[in-house]
Amino acid sequence: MSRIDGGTDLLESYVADLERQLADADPAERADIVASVREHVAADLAALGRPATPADVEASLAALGSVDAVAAAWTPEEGSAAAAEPARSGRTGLAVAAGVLAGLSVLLIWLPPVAGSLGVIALVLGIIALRRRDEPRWAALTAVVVGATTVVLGLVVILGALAVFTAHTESGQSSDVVSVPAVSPAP
Amino acid sequence: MRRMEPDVAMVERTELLTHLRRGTLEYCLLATLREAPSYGQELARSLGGAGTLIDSEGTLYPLLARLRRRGWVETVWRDSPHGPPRRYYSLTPDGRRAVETFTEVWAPFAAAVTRCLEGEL
Repeated sequence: MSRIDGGTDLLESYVADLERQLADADPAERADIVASVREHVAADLAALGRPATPADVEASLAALGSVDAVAAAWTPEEGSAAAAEPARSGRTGLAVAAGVLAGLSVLLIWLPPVAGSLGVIALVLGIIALRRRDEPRWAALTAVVVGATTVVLGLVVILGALAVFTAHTESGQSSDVVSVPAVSPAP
Repeated sequence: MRRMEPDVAMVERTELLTHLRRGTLEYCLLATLREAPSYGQELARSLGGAGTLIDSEGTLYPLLARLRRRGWVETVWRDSPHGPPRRYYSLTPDGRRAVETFTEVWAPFAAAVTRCLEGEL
């Protein structure tokens, strides 16, 4: 609405609108597009060979096309942050994470409580990943199978150790019980 | 009923053009740069102005920015006989390879589509 040059306002509002519509674009790409639009208008106005009027700016912007049309010509590049890829790779990450945890649980099988816990997490993540359609099935399945195996193995080892420990304690206690009457009558 | 038809056909036509341009127009741009570097307005004219390949001159700039980011074109400033310096776009070796590959794929593709549409398949 400047009284000096209404055309500048037209251009600035066009550019501001374009920047808003290109909010998802890579900043360098957006800056490049906006700079090109400005240069285009500047070249059009310079070619007039006389001081430009707001109507000239309007005509140049009309030749460029509507902001909607220019912004629609921009599409997110495949594999870019704006191309809905992050959600997909994030989901892929779940199955892979489950697989890695399952692998770790196998490596740490000599520490049954740790291996068992990792196995449980791998199992849960693997099942969640399996229920998502875009997760790699092989990684999720491997995680579920290996996770379940280490959980079972870990449980068997822990229960076995508990049984041995209990048996050992009981045998120790029974020897104490035996020794007590032998000692107690002494005083 | 007959009065409705042109509008529906227009919308369909516009949507179809948008789809067809996507994935082909960038190679048309590269092809126009094969002989010599060029600037925005000249590129728009080379593509036949607004109409079949482009709707308006401004729609080229997002494409050119993308091509530049991919490393298929590079820009250099050159003085203009009238007005401010212009940003000239030129093909990089990668851009040249890309348009050559597209040409190889496009020729049999376009021929097959044409044969199909003409019922010769």
